[in-house]
Amino acid sequence: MDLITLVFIILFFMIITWYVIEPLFSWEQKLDYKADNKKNDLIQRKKILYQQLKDLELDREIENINQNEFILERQGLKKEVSDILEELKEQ
Amino acid sequence: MIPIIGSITLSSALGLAIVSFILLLIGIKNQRQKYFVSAYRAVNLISILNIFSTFLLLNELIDSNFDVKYVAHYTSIETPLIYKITALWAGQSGSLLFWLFILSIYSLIVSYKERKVLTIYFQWVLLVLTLVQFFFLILLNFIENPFEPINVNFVVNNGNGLNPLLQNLTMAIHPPTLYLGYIGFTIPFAFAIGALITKKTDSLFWIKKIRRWTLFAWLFQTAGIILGGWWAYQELGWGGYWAWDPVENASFMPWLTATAFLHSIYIQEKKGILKLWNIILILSTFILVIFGTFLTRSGIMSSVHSFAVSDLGPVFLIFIAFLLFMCLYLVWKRLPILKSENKIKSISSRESGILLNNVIFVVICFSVFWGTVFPVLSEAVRGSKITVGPPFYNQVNIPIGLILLFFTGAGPLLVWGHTSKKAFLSNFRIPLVAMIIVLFFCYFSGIRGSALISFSLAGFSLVAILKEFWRGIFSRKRKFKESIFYAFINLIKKNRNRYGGHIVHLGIIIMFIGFTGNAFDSEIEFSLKNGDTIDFEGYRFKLSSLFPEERPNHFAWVAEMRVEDKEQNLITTLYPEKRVYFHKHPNPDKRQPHSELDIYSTIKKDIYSIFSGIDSENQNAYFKIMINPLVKLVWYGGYILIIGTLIILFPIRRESWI
Repeated sequence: MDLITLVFIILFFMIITWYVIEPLFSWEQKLDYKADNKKNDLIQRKKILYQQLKDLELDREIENINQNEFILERQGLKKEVSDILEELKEQ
Repeated sequence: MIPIIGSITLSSALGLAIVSFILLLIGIKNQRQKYFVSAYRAVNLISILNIFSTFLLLNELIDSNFDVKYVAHYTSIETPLIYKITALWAGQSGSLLFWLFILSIYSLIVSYKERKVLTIYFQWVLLVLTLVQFFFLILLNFIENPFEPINVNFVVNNGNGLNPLLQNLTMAIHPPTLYLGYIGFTIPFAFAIGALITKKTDSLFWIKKIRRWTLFAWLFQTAGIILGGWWAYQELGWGGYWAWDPVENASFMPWLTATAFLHSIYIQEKKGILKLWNIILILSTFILVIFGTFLTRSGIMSSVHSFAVSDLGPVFLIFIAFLLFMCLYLVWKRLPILKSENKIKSISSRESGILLNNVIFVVICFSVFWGTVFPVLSEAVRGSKITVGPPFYNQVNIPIGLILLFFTGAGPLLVWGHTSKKAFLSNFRIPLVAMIIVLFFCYFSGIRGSALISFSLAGFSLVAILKEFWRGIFSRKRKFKESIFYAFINLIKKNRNRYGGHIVHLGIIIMFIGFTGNAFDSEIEFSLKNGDTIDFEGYRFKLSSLFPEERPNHFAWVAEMRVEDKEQNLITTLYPEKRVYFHKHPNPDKRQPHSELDIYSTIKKDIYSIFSGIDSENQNAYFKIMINPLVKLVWYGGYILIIGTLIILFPIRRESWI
């Protein structure tokens, strides 16, 4: 191994080490768990329920379900949506 | 110089993996951002170093640096540039490095996409990704170093060259595609472990992420499997595309569990049930990926894909045992939070159909697993290796596959929650009539057995899916006064998940019709001299000329064979070849004969010609001709399936029925 290679390798290791350990000396904040809260989940749940309502509408349009089944199923989904909206309002 | 840099890069990546572990664990314990940021940088650096070392090896392969053992083993000066590049995944250590290369790209994408979400959950995801990288870095640093130099006492003027079977353009695309799928399952696995540890398995945030990543990996896995079949069909010369080879099975098993997962995760999202089942499915998928890699790399199974027996087997087994223990422990610890919130209300519901389809996928997976490991188990227990061949797999899987074919069409006809008797009759009536018509038509055409059932069920499922489209299009046409074409486009555009899924099912049904064509395959072996003819299956095969050709990396005997119909009209001219690679090698044992076949392909049937051998003294050429009906539908079905998956995966901005 020649001198240039050796210098290159040492330099390479120094840069890597500095890049990795630098935050240990300059960052001090506590972690901010923004995605851990329940709100995101409720919003996601709301989106899924809206999608289910749209799917249900489509099922009725293409006559996969009849009007009575549609009304019954939609009532259930709407109740779930309103519960979530209520919960979101409280947060 | 470059091989030294390559080795140093790999060692540095290994060292960084250890540092990342420590930093992530301290960060999780202390919950301080500085440790996380430091670990985040280290994890990204590992990926960058892995990618860099892959490019270094690629450079050596292109430069034909035969001082590197791997380069000398898998390339030669005559190897065309494209195959010098594909040699990266042709051998043991190169393909392990390629595994790591793809995982590193995935890790960088995950790390970039999640960079703003500084959660404990994400730190666990990074830790799992680093763990998998660490395992492969151990293999590459201590057992299979791709930069290992050749023995110093030797000067290698030329390398061995690439295996002729791998000198095929499909082979240039098939492994990377399959790897993208295979390795892609690491990401949902990491998300699943992270969710289990941080008790977030019921989080819809988790479900959304994991489903998209699984679908992405599944797309490539599917495309890779189809391309592998296409390569086997074109290159191996036995007339088929699937042989239930252990390595084919290794790619098929995670595909089955991932497919089951993609169906059942919808139920969890919509109804909050099957949480435990989904976790088991996604964890099993990744363990089966590692198991598959073990089968390919250890040389424990004899297969067209396997490499020589290596020292990798025990290391892989330890890793698999570790993964199994970790997953079982985590699932057992989290059992209370994996309980379902609701129950399936009715047997005649969409969720029941999906659950049954899941059971079928898992049963197929188990039968394939059993058939794959049986030779090893029989050798361990009884001392003699009993190989399980295609008859076992066909006997077990054809009936199960037919039930699956039925559910491919029946599933979308069922309604979430409960399908009333009226809706059931209305939805199933037309597909059932179609099934009966196909059944009678096929029966009176002389088709019997499983082919008869398969065609009938395909008829049922095809009409069921087309009916869904038909009703949707006409509903839009009626409601929005759109033309049929725009109604079709908008129907898919506004309901990508639903109609993308229907298109995937359509592809599967068309593939099943192609598979059924196997039942009608026929073949003949014969020898011909110049000008001779032979009649087979209503065709006349005439050997019009036979000539030798010298090419850069091989020598070939080329046969020109005219194919005529009963009225002696020319249908096509086939040019199958008998090649000898490394024909100038002084050692005759090193010369590699290879049959390059030629196929005339139509939707109805393929004429598959193989030039088996030549008696050059008597100018007598030996051929095998196979007539394979409906094979093209397998590839067409594959295209449709991929299009359907792309429709689902396409970024969604606004999705509404109106």
